[in-house]
Amino acid sequence: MALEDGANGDEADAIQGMDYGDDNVSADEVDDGAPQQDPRYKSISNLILRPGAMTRQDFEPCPELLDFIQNTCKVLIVGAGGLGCELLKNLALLGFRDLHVIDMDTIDLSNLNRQFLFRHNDIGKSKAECAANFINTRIPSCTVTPYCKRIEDFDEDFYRGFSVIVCGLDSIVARRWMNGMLLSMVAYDDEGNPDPTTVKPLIDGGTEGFKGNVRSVVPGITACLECSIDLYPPAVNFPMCTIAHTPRLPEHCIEYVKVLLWPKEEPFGAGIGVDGDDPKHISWICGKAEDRAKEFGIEGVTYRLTLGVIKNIIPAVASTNAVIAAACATEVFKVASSMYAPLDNYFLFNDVDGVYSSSFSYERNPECLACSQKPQLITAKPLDTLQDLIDALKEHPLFQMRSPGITTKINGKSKTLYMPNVPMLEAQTRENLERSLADLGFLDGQELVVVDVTSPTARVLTVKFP
Amino acid sequence: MKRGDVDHPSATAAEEASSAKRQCTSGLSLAVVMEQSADHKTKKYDRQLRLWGDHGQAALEKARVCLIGATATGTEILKNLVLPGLGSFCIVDSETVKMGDLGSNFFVTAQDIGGFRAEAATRLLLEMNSDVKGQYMTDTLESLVANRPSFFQHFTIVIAADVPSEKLLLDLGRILWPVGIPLVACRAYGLVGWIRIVCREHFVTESKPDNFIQDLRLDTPFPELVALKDSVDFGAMTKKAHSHVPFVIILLAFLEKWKTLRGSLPTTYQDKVKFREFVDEGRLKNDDGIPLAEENFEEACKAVVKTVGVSKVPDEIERLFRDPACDNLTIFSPKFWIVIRAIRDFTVGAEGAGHLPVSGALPDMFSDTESFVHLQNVYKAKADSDAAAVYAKVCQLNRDLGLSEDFISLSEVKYYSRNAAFLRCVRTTSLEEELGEGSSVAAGLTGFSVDDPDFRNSLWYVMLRAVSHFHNQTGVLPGLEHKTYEEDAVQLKVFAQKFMKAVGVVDGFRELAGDEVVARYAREVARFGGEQVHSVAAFVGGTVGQEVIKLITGQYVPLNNTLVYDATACTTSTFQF
Repeated sequence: MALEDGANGDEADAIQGMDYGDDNVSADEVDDGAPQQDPRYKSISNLILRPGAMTRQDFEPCPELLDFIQNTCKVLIVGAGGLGCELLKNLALLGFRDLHVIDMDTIDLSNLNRQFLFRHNDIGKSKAECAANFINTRIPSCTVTPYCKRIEDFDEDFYRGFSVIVCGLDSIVARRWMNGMLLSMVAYDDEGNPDPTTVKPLIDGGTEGFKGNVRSVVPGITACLECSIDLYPPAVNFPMCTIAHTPRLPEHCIEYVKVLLWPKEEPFGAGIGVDGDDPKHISWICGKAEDRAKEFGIEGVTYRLTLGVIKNIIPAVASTNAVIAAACATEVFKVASSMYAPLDNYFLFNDVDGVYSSSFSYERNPECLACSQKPQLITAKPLDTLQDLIDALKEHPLFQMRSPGITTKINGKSKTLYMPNVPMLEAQTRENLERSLADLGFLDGQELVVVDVTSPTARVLTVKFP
Repeated sequence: MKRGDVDHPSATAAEEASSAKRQCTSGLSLAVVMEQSADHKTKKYDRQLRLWGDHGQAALEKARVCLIGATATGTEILKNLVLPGLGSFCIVDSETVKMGDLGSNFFVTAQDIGGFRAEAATRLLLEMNSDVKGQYMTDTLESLVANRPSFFQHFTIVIAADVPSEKLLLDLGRILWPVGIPLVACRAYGLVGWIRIVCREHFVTESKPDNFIQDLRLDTPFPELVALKDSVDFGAMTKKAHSHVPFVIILLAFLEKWKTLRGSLPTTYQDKVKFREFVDEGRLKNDDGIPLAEENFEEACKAVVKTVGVSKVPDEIERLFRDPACDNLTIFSPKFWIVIRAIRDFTVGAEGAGHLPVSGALPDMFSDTESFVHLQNVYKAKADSDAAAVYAKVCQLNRDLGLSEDFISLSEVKYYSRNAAFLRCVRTTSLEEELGEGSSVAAGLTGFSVDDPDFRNSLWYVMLRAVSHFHNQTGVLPGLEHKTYEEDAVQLKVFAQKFMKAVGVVDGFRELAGDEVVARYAREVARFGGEQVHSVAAFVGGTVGQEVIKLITGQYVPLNNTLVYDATACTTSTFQF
C-alpha cells in the first residue's frame, strides 16, 4: 500500500525518545472523588460504584462488589475453542481474575482462523494450556487455570467450587452432560424448593456459520438446556439404500466409501478405522468417491466436501464467535453483579441478511427428562425386542440418547440387560438385544435404570405396556 | 506524527514457504512450494471457505481497510478481519496508550503505556496472522480530513470506531460518499453499541438466504422439461420404477392432468390442498386396493405448497428491473447494472417469457440415480443456455455503450445468471441526511411501549446523539468525573430533549419519551462515564467485522443502515435513518 509521507520525522523521534513511564499513569489517577479505583478497570468500576436508573432494585453499588468480581468470583469456562478463546479475553477484561478453563483438545491448523490465542507454533499443543498462558501473559492481573481434561473427569465437588459456569462447546452431548451435572448438584428442601447455595448459573453459547445463540440457565429454576431438546437439529443420516444403490449427491458417494467400502477394503490395514485428521485417509476416500460418482454420472466430489462429510464439519468464523461470546460474557457479568436482570433466557443471532436478533423466554418443559424430576414413561409392546427399546431411546425426540446402557430388577434381582460401553459386559449381554421384552421378564411398569453419555447421572424410566 | 510498518515477530509457515522459494535452486520446485502454501491456506481457512468460498476469500485477501480509532471496538473489529486473512489494514490513531486502555483493549499491553496506541495495536494484531499486512498513522483524523482527504481513497472500506465528533464523521462522510467508498461508523459506549453503514450503492451477487422458494418452473415448464415428463409413462412401469420417479416429474405430470380436468392450475391454498389429494391418489395400490407407501409420492405431496404456483420474478428483482440505473446505462455503469439490464431484457423478452434465467440447482429428492441425474442435467443445460442468452445481450449492451464486448466475461455472466433471484442492491442514506439535515431520523424512531425493545433502542440512539452534542459543547464526555456525573446527567437529558425536538419525532414517540423516561436514560448513560465495556466493544466488533466482510465479498446482505445494541437487555434493533 502506498501511503504518502505525511509524518514529521523530528516529532516522531522526539516521542520515541521520551521516558513516558510515570507521567501518563498519574494523569489517569487524578482523584475525581470516586472511591479508590484502579484506572485500568474504570469502565467496570463506574458501573459497579455508581447507582443506576435502570439497574435491578436489589443492586447495591459498593466496592465490595468490585472486590467480589475481581477476587472472589470463580468462573469456569468449558471449551477453549472459538468461543472459549473469546470468553477468556472478554471475562479477563471485564475484571474477572480467577478463571478456569477445561478443554481436552489439541490445536489444529484449521483453528487458527478464529481461535486467536493460538499460533502456528502451538499446533498439537493443549488448547486449555496455550489459551491460559496467552491470557496470563497479556493480562497479568488475571490468573487462568487450565485443565487439559474431559468434563467427565471431574465430579460435583469440582463444579461446586465455581460461582458461574459458561460453556463454549460444539458438542450437544457435552452440553447435555454439563446441564445434567449442574442439575444433579441442586439440593431441594422438603417443599421441593431448590437451595440457592447449590444452584450454579449456566451460560451457554453456540454458533454455526453466521448464526448463534446464547442461553441462560438457572438449574432447577428456569428452563434447562434439555427442556428444548427438540430444538437441536437432528443428525443428517442418509438412508442406507440410497448410499448403497441410488446415490444422487456427491455426499452419498462419500458416505458409500466410508460406510461400505472402507470396512471391506481396509486400505490402511486390518482394524484401522477412518481418521478424519489423516490426509491419506481423506485422499483415499475422496478418490474412491470420485470413481463412484463418475460411474453414476454425479458431479461435485471434492477434497473439501469429503473432509466436511467425514468430519461433519460445522462452518465457523471469527465474527460470529465474537458476537456470541461477547453476549455470554455480558451475561456472566450480569449474573455475578446482579446489576441487570439476566437474559430470560434465549438469545438468537443471525447476520446473513442484515443483522437479526431476538430474545425470548423459553418455558420449562414439565416433561423434561433432565430437570422435571418426574418419573419418565416410555411405551413399548411386550413383543418388542430390547434393540427396539434402545432404538426408541435414541430416536425419541425427548430422549435422544447416544448409546444407552440398561439395567433393571427382575424378580427382585438386579440384572444388566445391555451395557454397550464396557466390552466384556457388551459381549455378555449382546444376545439380549434380539430377545423380546416379555421374554426378558418385563412387566407393565417395569423400572429401568439407564446410563448414557448425555447425562452424568443414571435415569430411571418406567416401561408402559399398551 | 509517526507512521510505520510492523515486522512479524516470529517465523511462520508462509515465511518458511517464501524462504523455501528462495531455495528453489536447491531442489524444491517453485510449483511445489506454491502448492504447499496454497494447501496450507486452504487448511487454515477451511471453516470459513465453506461459507464464502475461494472467490470470497480472494476478495478478502485483496481488500484494504482503514480503521480510524484503535479503541477496544476498533481493535476487536480488526481482529475479526485479520484472523480470516484480510489483505491489509491501516490504523489511524493519534492517541497514546493509557492505563484505561489496559482494562478494555486486548491489543495493548502494560509495556506500551505512553507509546502510540496505533503502533501497539498494529503490532499485536499482525502477530496473529502473517498473511496480513498492516500499517499505522499517528495523524489526527482532523488533520487528515482537513489536509489530505485523498488519503482515504486508497481503501476498499473505511471504519470509524468511537469517533465522538459528529462533525468529523460528517466531514469523513463527505469525502467518501462521492467516490463510493463504504464507511462503517460504530461505537461501544458503556453498555450500548451503535453501528451505522453508509454506502451509496453496494451490489450483492449472492445473498444466500436461509429460506427461499426455489422456482422449479413446475407451472410453466420449459420444452426440455416437458419432453422429459412426456417420456415417463406411469402406467407402463414396474412397481420399483414407479416408486422411484422424482417428485418433480410426478408433479409435472399431475399438474397437466389437473389442468386438463379443471382448465387451470391450482393457485389458491385450497386448490393446492385438493391438488395434493389428487397427487396422493396417484400412488400404486396393492391387490386389496390399499395404496402403497411410495416415498417419492410422499415427497411430491409435501412439496406442493412450496413449489406449485410460485413461478414469478421475486419483488426484490422487480425493483432492480424498475431502477433508473437499469434503464439509463452509460459507459460508466457498473457491471452489475449492465447484467441486470440484460437479465431484464431476457426475462421480459421471448427467451424468458416472464421468467428469470433458470438457476440449474435441483434439491435432492427420492429417486433412482439415473432419473435424478437426467433431470438434473435438463435443468443444468437450460441454465447454461439461459446464461448464454443473457451473455449475448450483455455483449450487445457493451457494444452499444461503446465498451469492449468482453468487458464482462461469460463466466461472470453465468454466475449472475445462476444467482438471478438472489441479486440485491443496497443503498443507504448518506450521513449528511442523518447527522446533517437530520431529515431521515424522525421517521426511524419507533416504539409501541416503554418496554418495547425498539423503543428502548430508539432512546439509546437519542442518548448517543445527545452524548455527541454534550461532547461538542463541553469537550468532554458526560460522567467522566465521578463527582459531577449526576449533574452531567441533567445536562445530557436537556441535550436529548433538544435533539428530539430538532428532528421532530412523531407524537407517539414523544409521548413515550416523557421527561422522566429520558431522565432515566440520561442517568444511566452518565453512569457509563464515556468508558468502553470490553464485552460490548467485542459484540460491536464481531458484528462490524461481519458487515465489512459482506461489503468486501458481495456475499450476504449488509445491514441497512443502523443497528443499536442494548447489552443491559440483550437486544438489538435495526433502524433506517
